[in-house]
Amino acid sequence: MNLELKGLKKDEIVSLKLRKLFESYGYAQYKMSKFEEYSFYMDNKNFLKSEQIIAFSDKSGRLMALKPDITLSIAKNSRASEVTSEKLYYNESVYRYAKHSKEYKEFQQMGLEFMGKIDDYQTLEIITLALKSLEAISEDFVLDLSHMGLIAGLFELINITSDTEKENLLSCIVGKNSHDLEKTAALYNISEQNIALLKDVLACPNTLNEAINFWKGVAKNDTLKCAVDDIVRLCNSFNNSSYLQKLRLDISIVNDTNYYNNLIFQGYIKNLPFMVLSGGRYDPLLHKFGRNINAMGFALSIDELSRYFPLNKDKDESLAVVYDTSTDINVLCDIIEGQRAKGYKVTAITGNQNLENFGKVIYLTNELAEGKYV
Amino acid sequence: MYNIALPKGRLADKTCKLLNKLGYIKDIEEDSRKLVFTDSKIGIRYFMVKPSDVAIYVEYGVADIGVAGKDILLESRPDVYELLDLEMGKCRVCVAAPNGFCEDMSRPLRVATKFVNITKDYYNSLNREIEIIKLNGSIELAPLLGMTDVIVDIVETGTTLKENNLSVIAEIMPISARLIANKASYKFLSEQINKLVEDIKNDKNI
Repeated sequence: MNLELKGLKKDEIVSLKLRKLFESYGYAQYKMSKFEEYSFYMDNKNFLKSEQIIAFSDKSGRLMALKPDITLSIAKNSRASEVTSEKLYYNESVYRYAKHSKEYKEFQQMGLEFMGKIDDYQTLEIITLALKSLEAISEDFVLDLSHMGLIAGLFELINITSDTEKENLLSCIVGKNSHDLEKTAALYNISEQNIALLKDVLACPNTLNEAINFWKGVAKNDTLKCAVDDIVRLCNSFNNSSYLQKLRLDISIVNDTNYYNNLIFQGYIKNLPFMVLSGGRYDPLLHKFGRNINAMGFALSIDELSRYFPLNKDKDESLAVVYDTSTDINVLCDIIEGQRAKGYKVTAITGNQNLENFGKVIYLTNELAEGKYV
Repeated sequence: MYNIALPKGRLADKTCKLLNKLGYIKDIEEDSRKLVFTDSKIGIRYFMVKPSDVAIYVEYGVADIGVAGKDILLESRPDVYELLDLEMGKCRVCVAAPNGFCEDMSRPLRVATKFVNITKDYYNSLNREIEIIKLNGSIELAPLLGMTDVIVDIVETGTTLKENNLSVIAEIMPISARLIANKASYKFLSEQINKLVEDIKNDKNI
């Protein structure tokens, strides 16, 4: 069955395309219930973007939550092992606090998770899926890459061990805030040479080859060397690909250091003012659940797509069929079906209603209006 | 074409003059009530907004870049890049109290402020229990009328405090205007935005 995409909203089209894309790579759909125990999210609150969760008591008095996240549930329930991998995708609602409207909202999130043994090919496949997912929305996109090892290795290099100091320096890096980074680093007695290094890190160009060369020069310890090596191996696979132009390296994208190790990535579409795709490798989360497997995935926000890719409403497609008590109902039905078959969006109307929004009007009433179709 | 949100008020004049000097705005209209003006030749559109709203326009991407005070950024914590300290609009966030104020440590301190988050963070760092009353303007009135013990507010010259028999009892942090950018816009406009940052840095020898 070929479904006509015309008339579908952007988020509907993207959902269908992504579903087909994910399934073509062997991913199966995961359906989850709307609720999890509240305590589950509290135990893993650093994995979530926000602590604000809609909670309620169920009939047995347990405190439950409307799910703010899907990855946690998939990770907790995964049946993958080092030998058998699990490839799941989802298209679910999540419930989060919207900062500016100061209320809870339902968001639609689509994404996938790979659990099992992740090697270079699996990493390449997931990144390729991320690129193709962005491409399904628009051809004008970028995928920013980074690696948690770059952050960890950098802190090792400049001898920062305190969690508070790391957090404060990280918030400057995440904000590309060079001036506050310099002040904060001076406060922590970081050497002039290392402060200059931190500033160079922030000023590093994000074009892939230049950035990789920069980090190769900085990689003076094992953590950094491993991270750079992981990035180089991945990017080499794209050398002959048209996607190479879409990839960037940007250390300012950072996920929670307790849950993410290895590669992380974020996708952006031109003229969309928010991050559309976010993902990474999160082995530590599975280890926390007592599972000795790797995990990597990403999620897309597709809610707001219809706002930024609006449907062009074609008034000519709308047709009104005006009827009254004198109209033969069978004739009315035939006319409506006939016009629908021609591709019109047909509304049957009775009484004195506004017909301005219709491109064409058919009268099946006793009194014929002049100049109208019959 | 890209969009810049500028704050109305005391910073508007200074930032417009700077951007004009660097060739990013031509022909500023003095005392104009226009809120949006476009320079199609350069390819930049400007809008003048309430200072506390600049970060919101930038976060929503309606403005690709904006100029906002560090106080607003620390208070509302928008998810944006903070690319440059413009070293303009310098002032301080301070705790002020009536002259001769003596703090009663046996009860929570009552604080009037616009800056709820900055105040909470500051007193948390001191382990001091407080009760915050959020006000939107003329904060100095609160301790004068006995509604609160102290205030947390912006202090520039200190004249307003002096005229109201208040004095600074602690400085929380120095503040200045910052250049902020929408993260997504930056991914596609980094060349233009970085050029603006460099031009401003060179002008100010930052």
